[in-house]
Amino acid sequence: MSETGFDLRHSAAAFPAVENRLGLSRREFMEFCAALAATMGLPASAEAAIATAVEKAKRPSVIWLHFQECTGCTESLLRAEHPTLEKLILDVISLDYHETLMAAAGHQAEAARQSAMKANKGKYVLVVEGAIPTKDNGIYCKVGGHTAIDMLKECAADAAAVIAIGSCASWGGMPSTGPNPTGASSVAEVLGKPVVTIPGCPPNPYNFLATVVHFLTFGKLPAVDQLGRPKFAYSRLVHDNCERRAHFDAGRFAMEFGDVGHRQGYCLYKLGCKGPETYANCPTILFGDAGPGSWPVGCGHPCIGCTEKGVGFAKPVFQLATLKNVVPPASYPRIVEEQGNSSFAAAAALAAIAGAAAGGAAMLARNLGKPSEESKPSAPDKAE
Amino acid sequence: MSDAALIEAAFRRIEVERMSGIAIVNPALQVEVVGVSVWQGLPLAVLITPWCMNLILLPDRDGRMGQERTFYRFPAGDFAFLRGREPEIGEYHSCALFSPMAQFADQQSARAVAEAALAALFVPATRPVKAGQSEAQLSRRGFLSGGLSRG
Repeated sequence: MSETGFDLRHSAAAFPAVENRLGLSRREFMEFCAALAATMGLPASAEAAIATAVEKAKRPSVIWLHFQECTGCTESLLRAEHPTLEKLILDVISLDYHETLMAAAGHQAEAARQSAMKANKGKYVLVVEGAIPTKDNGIYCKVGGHTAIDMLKECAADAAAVIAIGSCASWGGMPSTGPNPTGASSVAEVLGKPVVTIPGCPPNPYNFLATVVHFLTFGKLPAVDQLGRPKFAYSRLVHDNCERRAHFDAGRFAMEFGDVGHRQGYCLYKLGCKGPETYANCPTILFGDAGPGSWPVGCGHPCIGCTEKGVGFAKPVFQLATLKNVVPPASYPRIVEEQGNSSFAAAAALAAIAGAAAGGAAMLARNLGKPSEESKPSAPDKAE
Repeated sequence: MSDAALIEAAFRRIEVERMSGIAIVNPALQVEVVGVSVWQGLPLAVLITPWCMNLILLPDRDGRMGQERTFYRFPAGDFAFLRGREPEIGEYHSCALFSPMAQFADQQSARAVAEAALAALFVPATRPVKAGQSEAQLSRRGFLSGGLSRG
């Protein structure tokens, strides 16, 4: 990251707190802000705004509910290899209720939730991990004697924003797999209104963190697609930015696990890769800050479509991807102007511009011209 | 043979040898190279196939392309290209624009989008938004017009 325009002397004097608070060097902190700006598809100039917001804004109170889930979303957040990530997550937000992490137990824990809700009424961010069982009046998941349905509705009533993290909370995910014995449902279904969803199994922690920081920086949640997914993260198919894409284009496919093609890194489409029907930024931001290859396709497994309702946990893992009429979403992330770090957004933007400019491609033009009104998250400040 | 003819020969062979009977292929389309020009000494074009549409860059005279994943800076932004290799054309770099191709009704639509993509590649990117301003305040019109219509 370039340090142009950033006065170190000034910052050291003005913002000593952030270094102590996060246990980071100033450089590491600004690199983190740049990474978040890039994740959100914002220009490099947004780093400063993000940095200021993270440093100065009151940390939003976050109430984190767990229902039908494996805690994998939380684990991915906390067990990221980047040593400072969990510190940042716990420091950028004020995590006031989280059953896995809080020291309190029993009635004390529920009292903490009530007091956090009361103290931050209308201002807290509600994060929901896990599906909500709705069959038989929701008796299949209870916390402190209350059903998941009641807890969710109670906590959502006074929340400034509701974020469904993981595929289970986003549309039911694994617990809703047929025959769905508990009637596992999404947060949006139970609340009866759209919410921001960060699907994935597990979701990438940067996508969650970038969403929260967007809220912190701009006072509203980021723009979302028709499934409530932030467009900065879920606008392009896994297939589009896949590191194996050149093999697909040239028709080189792995035919079975361990064959010559598989060992040479060929395309995994014929092994059931759902990349051509799954929107996510996995190939560009990878997982766990562990370096190249640290995502499913990178280490040789077909994408299972975990971010895509109707694909992940719905289709057999090794079944060929079927082709819905995939069209570019109504709005792509903006072109990112970089300071040396290149981004993957440009090709997406070009595809969108080309589709819009070529009026002859009727199907494309119609879809590109589609207003994005259908997607509104639950924040009082509506998504764009 | 021209560059376009070489690329077309390679991908027509791939179509017959490796892509036949695959569901992801759109039978309404055919392999075609659109708008070959020279950009910074490298032949640049759009490749349309029944399974994908890519920007494609051919090597210069020494026949070698850079790293496996290379970002090229065009006026419209930085574009990630992946390296490929076929006997007819040697090493090349390609940048994925569309795949699958189910949304294209016919070759004419695909060609129109390919030509528009090549044109848009040389339209400068929009200016960065000011810090603290939401990216959403850049209207769709402003985005498409390169910010020229923003007042």
